[in-house]
Amino acid sequence: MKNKKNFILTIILSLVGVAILAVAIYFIKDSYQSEAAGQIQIVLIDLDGNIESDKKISFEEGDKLADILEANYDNVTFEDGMLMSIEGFTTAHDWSTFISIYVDDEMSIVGLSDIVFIDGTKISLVMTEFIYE
Amino acid sequence: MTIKDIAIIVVLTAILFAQEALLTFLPNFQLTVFLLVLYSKKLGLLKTSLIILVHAILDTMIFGAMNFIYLPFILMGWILIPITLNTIFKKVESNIILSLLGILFSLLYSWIYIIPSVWLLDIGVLEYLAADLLWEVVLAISSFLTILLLYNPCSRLFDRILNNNQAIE
Repeated sequence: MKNKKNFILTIILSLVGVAILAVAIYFIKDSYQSEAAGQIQIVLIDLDGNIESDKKISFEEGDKLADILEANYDNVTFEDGMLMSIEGFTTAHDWSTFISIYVDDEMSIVGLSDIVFIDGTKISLVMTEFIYE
Repeated sequence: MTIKDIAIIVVLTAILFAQEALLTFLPNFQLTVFLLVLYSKKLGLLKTSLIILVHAILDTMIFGAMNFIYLPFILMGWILIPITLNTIFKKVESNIILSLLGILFSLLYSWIYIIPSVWLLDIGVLEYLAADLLWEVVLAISSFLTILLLYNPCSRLFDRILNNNQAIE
């Protein structure tokens, strides 16, 4: 009797767990899509602080930032949702250098796919050296 | 510690490390908490702590790009499992209660990462928690599900293998 109860409880808890897991993975995989057309400014800044590229790019309603980058830049690659390379900027294998993302000059606390962008948003992709403090 | 104990530790460390490497394609889904719960219950505090030490060093060297700043925090996060399961939760054997503890262990492990991450990235605790929340949920629920479904059969298998070895000796 106890075993049967335990078995049923395990099944119910498993189903609840799978449902929560599916919802969480859906939200992780879900990318932000623009809610209206507009124009964003994308700036690429190298390790010395020099501006390598400064483009104003138009986007349509429903566009994703990753797609905008892929359509307008060469050598755009992602790994687990992280921007690993764009044009001549490449994240080092040992992460000694990486690409930081700034939104309107503030460091982004979310990944590229979750950045909310509207008309006039400035996205800076800054090549950054990892500093051990 | 006998040669057999060392061999068991080596094999179990390899399993722990291999599953993490094999599951990297799934975001934050891993069997680490489940395996550490199983090892803690079957091998005790000392042997599981050794497995964690070797695993954490390998993890830092291979996936952490030799960034040893995170090593003490990884160790702290994982070592809580054998410590608590061999002290305050020593009598817990139910897979359901262990799976609920798996959620707690996953969250504690995730929250310990707040310290180095906030220190290195200079991001506020609340902002970090908000950005990390979904990843924490995935780790917690994957731990919960794997302990709930795999703990009992693997526990029996573990006992059978250990008992067979004792019989051979």
